[in-house]
Amino acid sequence: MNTEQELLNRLQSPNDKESAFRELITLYKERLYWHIRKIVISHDDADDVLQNTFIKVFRSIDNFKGDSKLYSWMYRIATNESITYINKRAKRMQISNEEVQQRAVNNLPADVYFEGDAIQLKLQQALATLPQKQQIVFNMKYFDDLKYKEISEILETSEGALKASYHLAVKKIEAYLKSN
Amino acid sequence: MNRDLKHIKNNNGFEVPKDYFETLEDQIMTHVTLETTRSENKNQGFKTPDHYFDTLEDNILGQLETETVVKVIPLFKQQRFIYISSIAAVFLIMLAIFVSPESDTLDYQTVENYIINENVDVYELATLLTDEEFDNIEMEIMNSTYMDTDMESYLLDNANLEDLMEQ
Repeated sequence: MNTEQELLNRLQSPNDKESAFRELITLYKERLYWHIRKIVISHDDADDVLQNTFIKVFRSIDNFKGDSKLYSWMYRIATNESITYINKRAKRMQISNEEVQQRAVNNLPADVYFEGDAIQLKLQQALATLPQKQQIVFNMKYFDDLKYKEISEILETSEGALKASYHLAVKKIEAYLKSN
Repeated sequence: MNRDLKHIKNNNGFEVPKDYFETLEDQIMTHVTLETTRSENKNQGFKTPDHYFDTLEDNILGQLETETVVKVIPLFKQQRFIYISSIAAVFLIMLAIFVSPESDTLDYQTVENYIINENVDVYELATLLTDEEFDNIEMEIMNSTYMDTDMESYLLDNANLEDLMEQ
């Protein structure tokens, strides 16, 4: 039995659930945090979304059937939670999702939890000009080094569509970096 | 057709897009910059507060414990929430009926937007009423001919499932 299956069994057993859940957090907290952080940009928002993600995982773990890998399932929850968070903010502020991202990136130079150099800031500005899906695909492929197959499982999108999204994103970012 | 090899060598038929070589340095340099910035810092300049990850497990498990305690909601409170929601619904319906859209004062949409945007919740609306008024409205609703299906359609149209779960 592999480690993931063992952990899953413990997560689904009432007696061991809490200690297994603590292990699960330790195992995935940093990977999920950085995935979320690159979508929502600010640390405070990333912290909120990360906590919501783990709480949702805890509540739903009994219904997890193991159709996909545990980490793909958690990445999917983290991605959906991040998108929902941005959508809610956009709705509340009556602006588009892209504008929410744009504003978050505009706040970066004053953010105490951002110490990127000029090119890193420019890259974030370029990313903020992309549609949400392209941003997420770019982050997962470029920064997280995930394979198309893995991204496909997480986002439930075909590998072909992901490749097209990624190449389009790269082209747009390169064009932005060249012209700015 | 000139078939000698020297001619073929000089005119091999391959072409490049217009300005390909003029922009090639820029293209390559952009790639190099992207690659360098990726390998230098995976987190792209983003950082976390000190020891953020050290306390994360406790924070999340603490939240779950609090939630478990909060989950025990007395039935009376649930009912009260439904009554207050009903009052809010009646309040909005009355505004829709009595404030005509042509009026240059307040219209239904403006008030609804105000309530949504200013995060005025049903509890705040309830503070506008005295206990006596509240009891009267409660009685009125109890004696009214509103059916469960009316309440269900109102909640389906107006309430957010996640907000209700949080209550």
